[in-house]
Amino acid sequence: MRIVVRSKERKNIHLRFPTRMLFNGFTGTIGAGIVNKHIGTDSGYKLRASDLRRLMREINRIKKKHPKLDLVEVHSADGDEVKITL
Amino acid sequence: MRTTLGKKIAELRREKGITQEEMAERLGVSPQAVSKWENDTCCPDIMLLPKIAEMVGITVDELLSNEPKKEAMMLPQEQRKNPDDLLFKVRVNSADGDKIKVNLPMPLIKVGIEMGLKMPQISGSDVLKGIDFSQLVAMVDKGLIGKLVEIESADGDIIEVMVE
Repeated sequence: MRIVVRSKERKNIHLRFPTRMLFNGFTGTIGAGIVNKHIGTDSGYKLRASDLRRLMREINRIKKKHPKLDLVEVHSADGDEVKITL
Repeated sequence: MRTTLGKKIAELRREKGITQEEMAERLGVSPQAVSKWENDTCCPDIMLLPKIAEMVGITVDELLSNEPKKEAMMLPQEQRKNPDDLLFKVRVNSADGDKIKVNLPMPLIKVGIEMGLKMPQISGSDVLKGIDFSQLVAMVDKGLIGKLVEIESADGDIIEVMVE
């Protein structure tokens, strides 16, 4: 997975890491905890680690079908760009 | 994915159930000429374009546009794509000039909905919150494809949801 942030005012950021390393059971458990902490209890939604692991399994499967798919592309009016590629 | 004039004529002709021979006869050309158009070996005479467009049920503009057809359409069972191949595309053009493109494979959307995830607020616009994505996915499962949603919010944001 690649994350590229291009900014006119700040330094550009290029992050590149293996999707499987990012999306595995261990990081799933940690990730679910972080997401739940971020969401808070007000929304009534609680992300389970098993759900996140399932989503990650699906991402790994889909990656074979759609390699290098641009998941998100943002071009802001002030010239900043963010691109997340599978 | 971009398409060519010939491919478009061939696809639309088949959709309408017209054979190359029938099309050729109605246009006063040979079936070989139609075959050549569809294989992009040559292009039809400009004077024939309105007739061709009328025959396949679209406008000359749509026929000449090399963008894929975006209008929503219901595909019959035999023409439906594998759900793994379908992409759920959300396009947001905000009035402030921000442009957001989100491309999500259909299986990811399904897993997200089953998990109870909601489409996050994008570009500060509340419009996406009002879209029932589970209903959209249910319609896509029944064969709906193309541009499913087009909204222009009071703030001037334009939001499109397509499945291709």
